[in-house]
Amino acid sequence: MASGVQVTKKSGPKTTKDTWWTQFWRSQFIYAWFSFDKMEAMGALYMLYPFMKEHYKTKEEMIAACQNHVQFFNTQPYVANFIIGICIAMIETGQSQEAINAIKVGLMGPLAGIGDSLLWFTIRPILFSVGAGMALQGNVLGPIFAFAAFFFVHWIVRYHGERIGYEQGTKFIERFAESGMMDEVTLAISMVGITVVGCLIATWVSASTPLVLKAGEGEGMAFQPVLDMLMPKLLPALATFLAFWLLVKKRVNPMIVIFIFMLLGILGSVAGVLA
Amino acid sequence: MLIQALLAGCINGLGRLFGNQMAFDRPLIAGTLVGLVYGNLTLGLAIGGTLELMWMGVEGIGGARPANVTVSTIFATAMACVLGKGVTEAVAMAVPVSLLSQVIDNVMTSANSFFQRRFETLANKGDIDALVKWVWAFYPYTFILGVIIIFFPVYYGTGAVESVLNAVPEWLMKGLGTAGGMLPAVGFAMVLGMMYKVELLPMLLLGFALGAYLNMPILGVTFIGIAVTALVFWIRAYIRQQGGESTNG
Repeated sequence: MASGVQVTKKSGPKTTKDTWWTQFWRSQFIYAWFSFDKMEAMGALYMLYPFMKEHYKTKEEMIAACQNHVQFFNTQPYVANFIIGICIAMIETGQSQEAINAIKVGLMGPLAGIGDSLLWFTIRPILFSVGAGMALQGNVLGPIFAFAAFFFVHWIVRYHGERIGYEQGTKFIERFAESGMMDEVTLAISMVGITVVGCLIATWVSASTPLVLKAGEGEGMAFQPVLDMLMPKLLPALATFLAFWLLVKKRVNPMIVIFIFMLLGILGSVAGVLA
Repeated sequence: MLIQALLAGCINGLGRLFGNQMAFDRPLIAGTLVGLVYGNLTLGLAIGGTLELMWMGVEGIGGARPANVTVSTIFATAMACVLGKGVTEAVAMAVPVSLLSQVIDNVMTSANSFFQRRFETLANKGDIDALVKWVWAFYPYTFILGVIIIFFPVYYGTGAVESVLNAVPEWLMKGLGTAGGMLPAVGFAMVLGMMYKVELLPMLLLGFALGAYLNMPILGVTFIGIAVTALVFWIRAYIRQQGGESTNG
């Protein structure tokens, strides 16, 4: 965890409400500036700029701050607001640029881990699979629901993340990490998330076989019902296991795995094994 | 057709403005909006929903995305609407386009580094006013780039795409459909790889069994997942408390 900077808001000018909302609006665009070398650096500078303008009175201060914030920064874009909240409190209390940068760099990794698994891989798949299921039945409320619900969630994460970061500084995340709460929360989220993924595999991976077993003469027997009796969704489970084995155990590039699956689908279909 | 192609481009531009990290870039939303633009909402919903489920687990982690789901969804939905094709053809188009457009996307993201260089030079020179101007110039740049990459293929490409689609033999179309059905497995495997721990296997099994044997909807499975997780944590807290008391006493 980052070095323990305690933020106390006693000295220094206070930030106005207008500036706060300006930067909250700006936080939506943090990923637009994404570049391969400095990643979200410009997004963070863009978010912090209104505060810097309000609090750094001399040109030298402003230049030093800009030079600091063009440096590398990358985290899950929604939890970035928590880090920026801490930075704002540090700007208000007149902390050094080195200290601000240390906080940014120290927090971005651990927070990205939580943000990715909670937002990208648990909440969004749940909301969007409900929405997509409705859309497939021709219900226009599906995308509207998914969009509205996801916006609600991400604004809550952004707004309150930033507020907590601003008000409590690194104290919050340190208490969180020291008490072991961070690991507990991550585990709980993963447990729910992986249950959902299990259901997604059974529901939305489609693979079946049109094979017909011919014993002597006569109609023959379709193979898929036999497989279903053995275990429903056996082929989707095997397909996912194959992808997992290639991606995680063999460290194959995802692009290549997608190509392999396309080939598998085409060849299997041509050979009459898969449908 | 011109207006529709431009509007379809704007949907991609909107996604790019938010760095493709907001809901606008998801196939469900983008596909529906394109369907709306072309006056075929039903088809937009069907294609958007199908591609959303197919690419559920595709997300940029640390900036690397395996496939560009936004560009391919918009392109495939627009083409299907213009040419009067269905979901199968759209999926068959979307898969190769997603791989190709991600390569183009990587080139465009590399071009962002030019802006980054510019920002750094100006920050080091201390020219803050110019820095702000460059920051504002980036918005229209990234938006227009997003429009262009959709507009030209959609507006000028219909003839070419139609002849390609007609030239694709029946067996390949069928094969691409089969492949499209299996592709979600890759997305889910990526998600599993992110979260995987041996201790989590029982929960994976639980979710799979509920889906495969009981055909339970995903929201119901989520509730059961939350309930089991809460129980596990409570039981664990209880055991810890008991252990604590016995060592103290």
